[in-house]
Amino acid sequence: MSFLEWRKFNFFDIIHDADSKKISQTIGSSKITSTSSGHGHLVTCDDDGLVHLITRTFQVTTFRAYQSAVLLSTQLQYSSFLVTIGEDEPDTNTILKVWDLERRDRQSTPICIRSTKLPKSEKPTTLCVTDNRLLMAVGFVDGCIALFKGDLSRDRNSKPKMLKELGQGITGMAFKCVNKDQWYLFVSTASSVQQFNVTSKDSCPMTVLDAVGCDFKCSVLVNGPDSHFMIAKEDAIYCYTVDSRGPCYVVGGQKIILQWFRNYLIIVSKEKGKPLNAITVSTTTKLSDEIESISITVLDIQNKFIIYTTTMPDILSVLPEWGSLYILTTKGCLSQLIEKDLQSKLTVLFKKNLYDVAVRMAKCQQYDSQALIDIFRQYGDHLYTKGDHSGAVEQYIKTIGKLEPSYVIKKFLDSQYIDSLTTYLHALHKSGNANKDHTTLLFNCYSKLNSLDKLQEFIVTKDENIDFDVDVAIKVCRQSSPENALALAEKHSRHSLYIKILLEDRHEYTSALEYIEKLSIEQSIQTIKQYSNIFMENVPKDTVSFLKKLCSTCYTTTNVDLSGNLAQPEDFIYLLLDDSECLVDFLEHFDNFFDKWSTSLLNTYIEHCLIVWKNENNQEKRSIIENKIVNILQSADIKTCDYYQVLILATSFEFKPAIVYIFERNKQYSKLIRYYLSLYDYIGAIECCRRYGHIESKLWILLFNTAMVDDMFPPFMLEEILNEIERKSLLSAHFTITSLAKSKTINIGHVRAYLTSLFGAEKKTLEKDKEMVDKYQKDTETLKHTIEKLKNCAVVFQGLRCSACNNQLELPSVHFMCQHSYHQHCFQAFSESDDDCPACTPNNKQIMDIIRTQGQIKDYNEAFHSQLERATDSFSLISEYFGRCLFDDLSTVENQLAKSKLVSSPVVLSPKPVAPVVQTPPRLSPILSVKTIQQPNTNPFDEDGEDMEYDDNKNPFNDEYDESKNPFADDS
Amino acid sequence: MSYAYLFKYIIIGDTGVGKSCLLLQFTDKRFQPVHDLTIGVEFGARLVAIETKPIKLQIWDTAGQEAFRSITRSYYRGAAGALLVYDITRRDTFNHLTTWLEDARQHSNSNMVIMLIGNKSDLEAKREVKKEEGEAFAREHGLVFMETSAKTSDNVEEAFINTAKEIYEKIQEGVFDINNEANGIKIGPQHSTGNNSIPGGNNRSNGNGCC
Ligand SMILES: Nc1nc2c(ncn2[C@@H]2O[C@H](COP(=O)(O)OP(=O)(O)OP(=O)(O)O)[C@@H](O)[C@H]2O)c(=O)[nH]1
Ligand SMILES: [Mg+2]
Ligand SMILES: [Zn+2]
Ligand SMILES: [Zn+2]
Repeated sequence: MSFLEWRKFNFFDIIHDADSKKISQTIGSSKITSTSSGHGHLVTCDDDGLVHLITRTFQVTTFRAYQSAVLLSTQLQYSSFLVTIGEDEPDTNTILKVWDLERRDRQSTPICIRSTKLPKSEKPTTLCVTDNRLLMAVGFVDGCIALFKGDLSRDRNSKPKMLKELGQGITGMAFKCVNKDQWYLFVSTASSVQQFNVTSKDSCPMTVLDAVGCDFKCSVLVNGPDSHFMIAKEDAIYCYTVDSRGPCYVVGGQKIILQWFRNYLIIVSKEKGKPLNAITVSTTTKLSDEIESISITVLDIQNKFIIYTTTMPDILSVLPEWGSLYILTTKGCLSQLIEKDLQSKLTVLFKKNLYDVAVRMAKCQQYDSQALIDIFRQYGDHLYTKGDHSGAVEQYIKTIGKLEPSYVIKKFLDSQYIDSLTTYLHALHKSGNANKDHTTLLFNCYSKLNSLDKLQEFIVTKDENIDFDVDVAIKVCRQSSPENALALAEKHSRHSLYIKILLEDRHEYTSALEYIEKLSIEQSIQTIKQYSNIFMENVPKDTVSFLKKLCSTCYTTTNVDLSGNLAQPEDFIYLLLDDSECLVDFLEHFDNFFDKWSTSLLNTYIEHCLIVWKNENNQEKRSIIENKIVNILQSADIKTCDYYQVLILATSFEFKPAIVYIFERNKQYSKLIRYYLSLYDYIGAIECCRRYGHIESKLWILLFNTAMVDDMFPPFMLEEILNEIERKSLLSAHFTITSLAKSKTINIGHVRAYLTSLFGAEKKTLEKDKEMVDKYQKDTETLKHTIEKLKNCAVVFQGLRCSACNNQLELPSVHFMCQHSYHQHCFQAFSESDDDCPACTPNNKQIMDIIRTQGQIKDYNEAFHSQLERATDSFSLISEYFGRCLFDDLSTVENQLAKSKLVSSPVVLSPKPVAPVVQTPPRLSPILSVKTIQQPNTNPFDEDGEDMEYDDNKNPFNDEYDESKNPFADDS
Repeated sequence: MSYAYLFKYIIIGDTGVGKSCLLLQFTDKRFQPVHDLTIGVEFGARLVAIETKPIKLQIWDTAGQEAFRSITRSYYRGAAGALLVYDITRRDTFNHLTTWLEDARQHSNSNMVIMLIGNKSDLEAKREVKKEEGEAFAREHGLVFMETSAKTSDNVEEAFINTAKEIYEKIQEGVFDINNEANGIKIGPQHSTGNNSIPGGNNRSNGNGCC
């Protein structure tokens, strides 16, 4: 026989005489009439009425089933029932028997559980039973079919249903179940194939499927849901479904047996002479070629190969059981066909380089994936060596995930295979098995292939679980196609990279800014900080306006947790340091938020305002800036504004308004004045004096001193200064005039008014004093006279009334020299002592007290000094002390007082200052500590506490003006 | 799987023109690059919708080799439609069309719808038969023409479905006797007009008699 174009393999091993001839011995000379297999048995029946059951170990059990001969037998696959048809006597109706092989009688013969006489005397040719034991059909040689329904193990005496007569002997039958409950019976005759629907009880409609037929044993039903009924014809195997013809397989040869095993079709056919390579379709060539042999062929229909073929002298039947195939000859010889294991099959296929077949086969048999991968790899290797690189890649792609990619990549590294490599790498990425290097390689491939569109496609379709290292991809793309790199970066939020490419490769600064703007605040802050230098270098204006926007969020989003790293204007200042105008502009954007500014920010702002101011030539603009700065200083919070710092700035920039403001603000008026003076702004200085002179009168002195030594000092102001000094008695006239006299620039004209008024006042005082002196002299004269009189002349008491009760004096009366007279009883009532006049006592006592006190004061120089230091008019204090003879011996004073008994003092010393002084140490001991404490208050010219002491000024008696000690002397 | 009609198709043409590939592409949406010679007749089925009606297409893919002609011929009889395929990259396959057509007309029922297919349209570079030639041939013999590629699946679906449409129209026009299964058309089990499955079975047995 010959099969055109079927590929041939040898996937079976044959074992001859597998049963060690046990079967042939058992059968002996009888003829085997029927065979069957299933449920762990091979069954052979002979013409002697015996049934032989063969176990796996080839133990043969024989029992008699019929007296005469067994004609047909069927062993059910999944139950122990064996159905036989035979005759007990020749030429009577045949009998159908059902045996339960698991139930044996004492002779260990299986029990016949049913015995039914068939309804026809014709010879039965075919027997067919369903595995569910509910349907059974017997075909007869005349074309009749008897259909038994119901449990076959029970003899219900039910009459079989006779199906439509076919007019030709039945050659094959098979039950097929469709949709679980639809039962069909395929029937073949020598010249037709038909099907009966045996589902319904009453009618069994028939459908003719073909007008060709087959011989006995030459039909088989393929198991499975999409199974076919197959018949073997000389030219081909034809298949049928329940309603039509199916495929056909061209296999030549005169078929004897058709059998199905696993997925294979087994064909036993007669070979006539030498096997021909052409199909022997035409039956006319059927010459009486005597050399006849039988061949058995195993066909893998699915894969379309012959997987085994051999010839044998004779084959009676082919029985599948125990996972292999048994071939029985008429003489009872048993051979076993064992399928090779998959691995050895694959080895065969590999040897022939039939990898595709190997894959198909391996898949069919649920081969494990690792082994499959290995096949793919071998296939790939094979194709590779054959030079079919794209084919090889196709196979290698199937190995992805299991096979180390470098194995494949190595093979394709040569530049001429770059296409294949690309395909592989792409697949690698698609499957998510790519690492960084693979990505790099793939992108390089794309760029080498110049297939940027593909690259783009790859990038864009990334969502579909193609996985790759984005950073690497961007890096690679950057070199070849920045667009793609950008697209990638944008897509995968590699913002920093995106900007980097824009800036470094494309120099698209503004678009970079626009891009950053779209990012979240955190991201944009991070990104702008990273590249701010580049931005500032290239697009300063845009950058500044961008920064403004960015930082605004920091201020406007007050609710946002400020601990987060929001953009603080401070963070960007360093960028703008070179461009003060930008910086100022930038910062002014936030001037609504001064209250939130930090000290350093404010300082920076002011500094750069000052720079701008300094560089500005336009006067108008300058003044605008001036106002702005002052406004800021005014509105700034004390906490945030470091005035000292600002002052330094303002000084270094010679920015007067700020300096003035700060001095004023800090109440450092003398400094302010000195500042004015250093600028020769005398008007300003005097203005300042006018404003703050009432707070700090020494300002005037300061100004005056300056005027004395400063040649430039405008003399017309002098008058006011002098007036002020005069009015407030800041300096003694003497000192003032001395100073004036020393001045080289001031002439009399400038101070005429002052002098005039000074002298006028002086003169008036003089006159007044003179009057007083005259008066006192007169008084003294009078008193002297009175004393004289009292000493030398008699005193006449002329008093008529009592000085106590004011009534007419009556005797006895008391008279005093003081011209007071009293009734005696009045005197005694009022008087504290007998010697003193009660009216005069208080006065005299007071005087005496004063004298006594003065005696005590004398010991306490300290009190004098302290008073002197505190006194506004030291001169009068000293003269008062003189007046009280405090610089004399006390005894002489007492004498004098005792003599005169007349004390007139305009000043009454309060005893208060004496008290605290009592405890202090004597004047001569070191008392520095005390002095320092008193210092701030004691120096009338020291407003800051930092000036050196100017003792001479304090000394009203010092006529010498020591110029070297003048702090302003060197200012000019 | 219920269907309104079942149409039987055959695919014919020289060996290697891509008949099996067309079928595989239509039923499995796969392409098989290795030439697996068809030895005999292969079989495939798919459900399609024509004017919202579900139609089951039952397709026989025949072997193109001369040696199998006698076997494959027997399949023409029960077909309602045929795809006659040539390979646009091989002129001889085009030249053989007349033979194929004669064979088909002779062995099939006269109403069979034949669609002419120029396959492998993806191999434009190797084209030997112009599209116009195919069109001309089709016009001349009253066939529907189409170029397809079983590899890219271009027009494959259309080829089968358009054929089905054509058959469907013929049914609507009453050209086909749908009760005669020899025409290659079967009414679906749920759609049968009246309970004529038993009479149909009888019909067949009668038909059998005349064969
Ligand atoms: N490029 C391309 N190749 C195709 C196409 N269709 C089929 N082929 C190839 O052509 C070869 C033959 O394809 P088959 O479908 O097996 O040919 P066939 O018509 O069935 O051949 P027979 O079975 O011998 O009649 C195979 O190698 C296919 O890969 C197509 O549309 N384009
Ligand atoms: Mg084919
Ligand atoms: Zn008196
Ligand atoms: Zn009196």
